[in-house]
Amino acid sequence: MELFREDTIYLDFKAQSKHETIVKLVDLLDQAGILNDKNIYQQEILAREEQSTTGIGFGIAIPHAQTTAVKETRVAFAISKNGIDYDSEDKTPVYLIFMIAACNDKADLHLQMLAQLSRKLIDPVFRNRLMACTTKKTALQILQEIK
Amino acid sequence: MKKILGVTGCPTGIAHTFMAAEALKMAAKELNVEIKVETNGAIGVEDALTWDDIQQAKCIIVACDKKVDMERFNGKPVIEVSVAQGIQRAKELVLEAVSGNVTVRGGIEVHHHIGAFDEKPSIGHVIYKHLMNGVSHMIPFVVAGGVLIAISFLWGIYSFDPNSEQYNPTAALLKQVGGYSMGLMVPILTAYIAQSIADRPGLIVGFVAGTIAATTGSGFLGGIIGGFLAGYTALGLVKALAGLPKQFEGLKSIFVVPLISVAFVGVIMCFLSGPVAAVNEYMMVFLSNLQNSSPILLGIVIGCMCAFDMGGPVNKAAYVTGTLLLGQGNYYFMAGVSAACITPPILIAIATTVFKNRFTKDERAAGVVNYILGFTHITEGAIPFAAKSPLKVIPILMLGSSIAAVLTYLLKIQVPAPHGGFLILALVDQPVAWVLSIFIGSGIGAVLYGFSREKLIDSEGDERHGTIS
Repeated sequence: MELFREDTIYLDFKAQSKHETIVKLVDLLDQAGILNDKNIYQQEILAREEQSTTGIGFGIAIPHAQTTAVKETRVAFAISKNGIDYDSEDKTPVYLIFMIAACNDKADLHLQMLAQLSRKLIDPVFRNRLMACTTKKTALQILQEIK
Repeated sequence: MKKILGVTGCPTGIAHTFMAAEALKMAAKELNVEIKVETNGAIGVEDALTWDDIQQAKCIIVACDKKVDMERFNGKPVIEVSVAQGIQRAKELVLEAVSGNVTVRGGIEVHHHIGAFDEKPSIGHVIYKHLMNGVSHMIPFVVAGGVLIAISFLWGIYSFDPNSEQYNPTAALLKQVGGYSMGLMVPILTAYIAQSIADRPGLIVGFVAGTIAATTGSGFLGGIIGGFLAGYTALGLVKALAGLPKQFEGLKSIFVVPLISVAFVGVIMCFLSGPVAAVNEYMMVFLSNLQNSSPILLGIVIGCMCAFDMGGPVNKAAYVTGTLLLGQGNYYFMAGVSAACITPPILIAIATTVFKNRFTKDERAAGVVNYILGFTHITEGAIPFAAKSPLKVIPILMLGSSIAAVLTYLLKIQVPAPHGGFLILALVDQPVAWVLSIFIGSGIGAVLYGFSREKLIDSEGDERHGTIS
C-alpha cells in the first residue's frame, strides 16, 4: 500500500506527445497490476485532460483520475530528460510526470498524501532534486519524504 | 499586516486544488502577506474560511474550476480565476489582491452567518442550521406535491373520489401522485435534519425516524424531534466507535452504526408517538381556531413574519406552518401566508411605478422586475430595497403584508397550493378577492414607501403635490 513503488517509476522516459505519454504510463500502471480496467482508466485520464490540461507549468504534468477502475491508489512517476510537448498551460516542455491513479474511496488515506504531494511540487527545490535523480532508489527516497 | 484569503478547488480534487493552495501560500509568504487558503478537494473542505476571516480579509482569491459557495463573499473584493491560473500566476494574484484595485463582488451581503464558515456558532444558530437543512430539502416535495393536488381540484374538489359525480381519472391520478410527494414531507424533513448533524449515518436513521413520525401521526413536531434525536444519536455513536481499528470501517458504517442507531431511535420514536401526536394535533387545532376566532390577530402576525426577513428564517417559519396545515387539508391558512409573501415585491414595484421621481433609473428597472417576482411568490425581490434602509422599509413592508393577510383571513379565501403566486390563481376559490387583498396591502404600503423617499433632484419625473404630514 505504498503511493510510489519502483515498478511504477520510469527514469529516462521518452515520448513524442501528450497522448503517447499517457498511453505509456497507463501501460506501466496496468503492468504493475494497479488497474481493474485499463480502458476506463485511460478514458478518465483523457476526459480530465479535455477539461483543462494537467500540465500546469514548472515542467510538471499530473494527469489524474479517481475511478473504480483503480484497484489501489498509486502514482506512476516519470522523468524525461529532453522534455515532452505536453500542451502545457505555459507552453513549456514537461520534464516530470506524475500519473495519479486514485481508487474511488472517499475515506482513502492516500488522498491526504496526494494533497501533500501536490503541495510539495510547488517547491522548486523539491522539483530540482527529483530532476537530478539517476536511480529509481534515490527517486523513491525523495518521494517517500512526502507524509 | 494585510490579510487575504484564497479558495481553491478542481473537479477531481486530488491534485490541482492543493497545488494552487500551496502556490498562493508560497507567493504570499514571499510578499509578506498573511493568507489563509480553503481547499475544496476530494477529502472535503479543509481550512474552511470562517465568518471572521471573511470580514477581516482585504481580498479573496477564488481559484476554482468547480462551484463553491460565493454568496458569502458578497460585498468583498473578489478575484475569480481558474485553478490553473492560481498555480501559474500565484504571485501576480497576490499582488493584485493587496493592490486595492479589485472589483467588489455585488449581491446582498450575508449578515446572518450560517453554514460551514461559522467557527463557534451559538446553539440557536446550530439548531437553526440543521432545521433549515431539513426544511429546504422538504420544500420542493411540498411544492411539487401541493401544486399537483391543487391542479386536481380544477376538476372539482371531489374529483379524486370514484363515488362522486365530479370523478375524473386524470384528476385522481394527479392527486395520487401529489399525495405521494406530500407524504414524503416529514420523512425528508427528519432525514435531512439528521443528515445536517451527522452526515450519512444520520440520514439513514433520520429516514426511519421520519417515517415513524409520519405514520404514527406525530407529524411535523415528531419529525423535528426525530431529526435531532436521530442526528445526535448517529453522531454520538460514530464518535463512540471512532477508536475501532480501520479494518472495521466498512462493517461499522454499513452494519453496526445503522443497526444500533435505528433500533435505539426507532423504539424511542414509537414510544413518543402517542404524546407527540397529541401535542401536534393541539397545535394544528389551535392555529385553525385562531384563524376563525381572531383572523385580524393572525393576519398581523403572519404579515409581520413574512415581511420581516423576506425568505429568511422568520418568513420560513410562517411558510412552513402554512404548508403543513395545507398537508392536513387547511387551505385558509396558506392563503394568508401567500398573500403576505407576495405583497412586499409588489409593494416595491407599485412604489417605483407611481413615484417615478423618487427612484433612480436602476431602481425603477429593478422595480419592474419585482412585479414578476411578486406575481410568482418570490418575496426575496424586495430585499435589495429593504437592505438600503431596513429600519424604514421593513416596517412598511410588514404593514402592507399584514393588511393583505388580514383581508385574506377575513374573507376566508382558500389557496390550495403552497407556491406559485398568481400562476395558481385558477385554483384559488375567490381569485379576485385575493388579488384585491394583496393589491390593497401593497398599494397602501407603496404610498407610504414612496413618501418616505426623498425626491431626486435630477429626476425627469413630474413634480408632485401633496405630502403626508
